[in-house]
Amino acid sequence: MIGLWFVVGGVLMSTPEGGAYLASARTQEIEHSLSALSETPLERLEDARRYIDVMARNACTSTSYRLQSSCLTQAARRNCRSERRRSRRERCLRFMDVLVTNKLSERAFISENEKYELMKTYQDYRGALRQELRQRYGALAAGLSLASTCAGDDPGCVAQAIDAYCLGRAESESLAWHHCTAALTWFVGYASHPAQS
Amino acid sequence: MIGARTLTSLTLFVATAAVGVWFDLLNPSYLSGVDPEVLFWTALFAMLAGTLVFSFLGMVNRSAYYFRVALDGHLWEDESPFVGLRSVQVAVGKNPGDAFDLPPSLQHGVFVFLFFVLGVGTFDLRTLDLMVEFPARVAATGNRFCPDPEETQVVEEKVDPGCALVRRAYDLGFAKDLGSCAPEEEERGDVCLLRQRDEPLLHYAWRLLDESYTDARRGLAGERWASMRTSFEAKAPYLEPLYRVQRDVVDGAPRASHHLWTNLPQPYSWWQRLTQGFFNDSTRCESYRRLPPRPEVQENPERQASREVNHVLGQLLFDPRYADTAGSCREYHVHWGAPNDICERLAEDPEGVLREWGVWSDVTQVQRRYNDRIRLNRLAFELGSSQRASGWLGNATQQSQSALQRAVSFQCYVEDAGASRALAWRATTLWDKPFEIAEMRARDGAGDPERFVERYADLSKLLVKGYHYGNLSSQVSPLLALQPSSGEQVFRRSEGYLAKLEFLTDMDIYLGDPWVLRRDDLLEVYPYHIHLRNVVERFRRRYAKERGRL
Repeated sequence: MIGLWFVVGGVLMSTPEGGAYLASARTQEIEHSLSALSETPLERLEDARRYIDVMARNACTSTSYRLQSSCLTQAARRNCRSERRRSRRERCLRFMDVLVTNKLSERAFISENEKYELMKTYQDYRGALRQELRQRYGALAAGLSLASTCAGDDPGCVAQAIDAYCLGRAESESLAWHHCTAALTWFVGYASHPAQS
Repeated sequence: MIGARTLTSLTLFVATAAVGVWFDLLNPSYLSGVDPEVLFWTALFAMLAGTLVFSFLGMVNRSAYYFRVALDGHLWEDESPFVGLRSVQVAVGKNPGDAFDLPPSLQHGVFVFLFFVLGVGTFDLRTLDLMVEFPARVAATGNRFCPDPEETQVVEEKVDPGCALVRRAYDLGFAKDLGSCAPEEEERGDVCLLRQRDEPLLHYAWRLLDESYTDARRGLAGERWASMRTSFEAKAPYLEPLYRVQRDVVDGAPRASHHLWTNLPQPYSWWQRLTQGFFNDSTRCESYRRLPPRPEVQENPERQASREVNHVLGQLLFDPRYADTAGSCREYHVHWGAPNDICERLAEDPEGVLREWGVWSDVTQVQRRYNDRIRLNRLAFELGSSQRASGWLGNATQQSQSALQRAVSFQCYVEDAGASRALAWRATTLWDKPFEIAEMRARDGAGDPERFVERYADLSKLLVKGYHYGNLSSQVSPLLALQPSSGEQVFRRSEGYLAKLEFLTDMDIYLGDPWVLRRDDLLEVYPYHIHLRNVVERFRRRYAKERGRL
């Protein structure tokens, strides 16, 4: 009987269906991602970002975002496999998830025309694109800080605020919840990284 | 006996009041719409001008003469006949002091009232502006001079693209002429009619006066009168539609009348409608701005289906976030709580049903507007105003079969527990024109996400004949749309919590993928802005071809 319970429990754990994206689960996931970002050295985060950039430009190039998403997720998993400790591996998968989503959401923040303008204007196109994205994320974060009432650095409260803010943005403007959440998680997690202070 | 001054005051009062009432100048709704600043200056003007005239005419004194009606035709001593017959006469005589006179303050009030009505009828914001600007305009008269001919004007020469080399070759002597690159001859400028620098102000003033006189003479010339007369004679039989067209524009009369009957109950209770101001058209229409992707689930399940239908209609037709709203919300009427057989009855006796639901006048107003337009098209054609005529008649000929049917439409939407989806078109005749009434019967299901999404398809098909939203209309790649359930497997995997959601951008729930619709949590984060926008904008493009306004 106990064995049966383990089997059923195992199946349920492996298939996060039904409520994986309900408010409480979302907040928890954002909180975990924020922790993963703050607990990872900045150099590692930068390496990971560069890795995802390279993969998106080379092996994972595709006009189908669905395929690109699958490919980048696989690449992120492969990259995280190098982490020996399980806790680090899980942390890696979380921040990689944020990075992959940010890569996929670039088109939502910067249009093709704007990219073309950047390409024409700057010699270091990628640096300029990164800078521009940071500014867009910053504008989003400014909106979040105006809307949020979180005191101090309570990650639970920040996660809840990000979720609520992004739901509102998804409803009122053309920005998907996961694009907004990944952008804010990265911006807040990176900006509040202990190594930055 | 009544004093002459009092009689004058009373006559003026009655005449002013009559003019004020006739032109609606004393109508409280008109007065409440007048700009407060204008009202203030009008009142001030009335006080000053009324007092001035009252004092100038010496109305403060008793009347020097009196009027009396002599019923027997007998005049008193020192009286003279003023008007009347031999038997009944109005006599005028010198007032010995006993003739009836209104108190001076009341007569003063009459003069103030007179000028107030005059002011309300003639003053508006533009008048005030002109009056304020008048001194500056007078001071500026004659200050604009013709430019000095000796003044050198630097004009940048414009070179056509490709002509620079030809010109260079010409300058160097390699070409004999410039061909098409030759600069065009400068046109002689118009004669400057402004004041010359050495022209005395009086001469300039005389010139302006002479110009005005010449213009006036030209305006009063025989041909002009003849043309005006022809135009007037042509327009005279159309005075009524011409007036109505102007009135309709000013009143903002409806240019369309679309009606949808449904057996669903009112989406809001009487109390909710009262407190949320939904009895008022503006507030009701305002509620369709920025609708959330899905309506909130209500505690009262009876009204949930109605709310969903109302929500879907609002998104499809009115939400201004999507391009080109289908029409003005005030011209669309949803009739809740209709019987299931409303469409049959409407097809049999359209006028009777429209009268029963109190919308006959609304519909006929649009029909009358349409008829007026047709008549005015004819007038424009008679007047030979080719441009206007071609515009109006062009539309009319293109839409002669459907212009009215585009602006007036009837639909029925019936939800029933046992009904399977069925769309029928019933033919009827109204004003001797054929009309089609669309009727959609569908299953009920309040609060069910699958049913909610189905309503987009149901209502789209109901509002636009032959409308279909399918894989090819969707933003989803047609190849991916063929295997919608592949997303389900992706969401079974544990990694990529956020990245996985990218798959939702390729899943169009409005195509009826039941897997996503069963996941309430995914619906919370679903990228509606991609697919809902596509659904609405595609529908509106098709709808604009079928329905519209006059």
